[in-house]
Amino acid sequence: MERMGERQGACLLDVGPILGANIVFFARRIPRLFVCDLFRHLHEALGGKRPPDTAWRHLEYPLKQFDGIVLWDFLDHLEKEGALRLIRHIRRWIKPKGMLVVFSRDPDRSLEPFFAFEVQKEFRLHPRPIPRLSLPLYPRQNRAVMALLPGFSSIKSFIYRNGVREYLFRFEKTEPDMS
Amino acid sequence: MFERRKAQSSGEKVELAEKPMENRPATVTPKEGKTIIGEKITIEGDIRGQEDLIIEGSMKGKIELETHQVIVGPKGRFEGEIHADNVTISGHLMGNIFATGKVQITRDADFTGEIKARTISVEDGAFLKAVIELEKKTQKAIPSIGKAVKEETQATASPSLAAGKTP
Repeated sequence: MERMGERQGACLLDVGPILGANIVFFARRIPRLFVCDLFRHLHEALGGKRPPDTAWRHLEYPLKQFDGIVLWDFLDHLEKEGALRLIRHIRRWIKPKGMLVVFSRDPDRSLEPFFAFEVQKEFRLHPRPIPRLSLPLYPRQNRAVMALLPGFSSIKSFIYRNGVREYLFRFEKTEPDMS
Repeated sequence: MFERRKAQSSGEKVELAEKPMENRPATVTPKEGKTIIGEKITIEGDIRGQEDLIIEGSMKGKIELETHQVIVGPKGRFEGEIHADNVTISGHLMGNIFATGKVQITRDADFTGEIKARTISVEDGAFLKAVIELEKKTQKAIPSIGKAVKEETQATASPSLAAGKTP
């Protein structure tokens, strides 16, 4: 992120949920921060019995717009086919060598109510319950997460005490059949 | 000097400045005056002037209040472009904000557009589809990510954003 922040005109997409602390954190470091609350759109889509794709269908970002995308644990709330469809869009939006941040919960641990990750002091992330959002959970093992992201290579991954895993991916290639 | 006034009707251009700027002492920035566009008022056109503006009704156009504050209240709707010192959004706004000071977005806000400002605050739960660009003057005061990574790894703590050990 430090390098991204130094790059003139660098663009980052935060897919939500809308947490003031996160927006301020990114906006102070990245030249152009794009914010769109996909979690809320998904909540509304599923509540209205609409397919999950309606959560991101309205997004019309240009090709290769973003140097980085923070997806948080959004994939955990999509079944496999929906997740793959979203990743196709992300592959269009992200620049070659662009970075993708993904979080995933431990499928072997008991499922907690919906929470978001809030950036707090000293760059710590704190899980923060969001009672207004109700979303299904499809937590996956490492391999299943990787399988959702063809064309991305894993740069770093971390596992935390509460079982949440964080992955940092880099987009390596665009395959014509997947774009 | 500046009395509270309410825009009474639609119009192409509403001038808020009571006196031309050259008649005032250069150091005085009148902050006490404000204009309210009431709930039942709809305006299409541009506004420019030298006092604060509160939109509780509906407006489409351009606002130029460079040294003043614009507030879009909870029932306010605005579509267009705002140039102001500070901007607070509690209602519906579609368009672009250029603020020399702070932009505040409350939890009731529904904002779609672009924000350029010196600082920003956003309440959790606001509806926001935005592009945000902040002035980077304060960048020197921000600790570098690298420093934070060191602190994080020493402190054995909860998750941190892209900071920690590679397994």
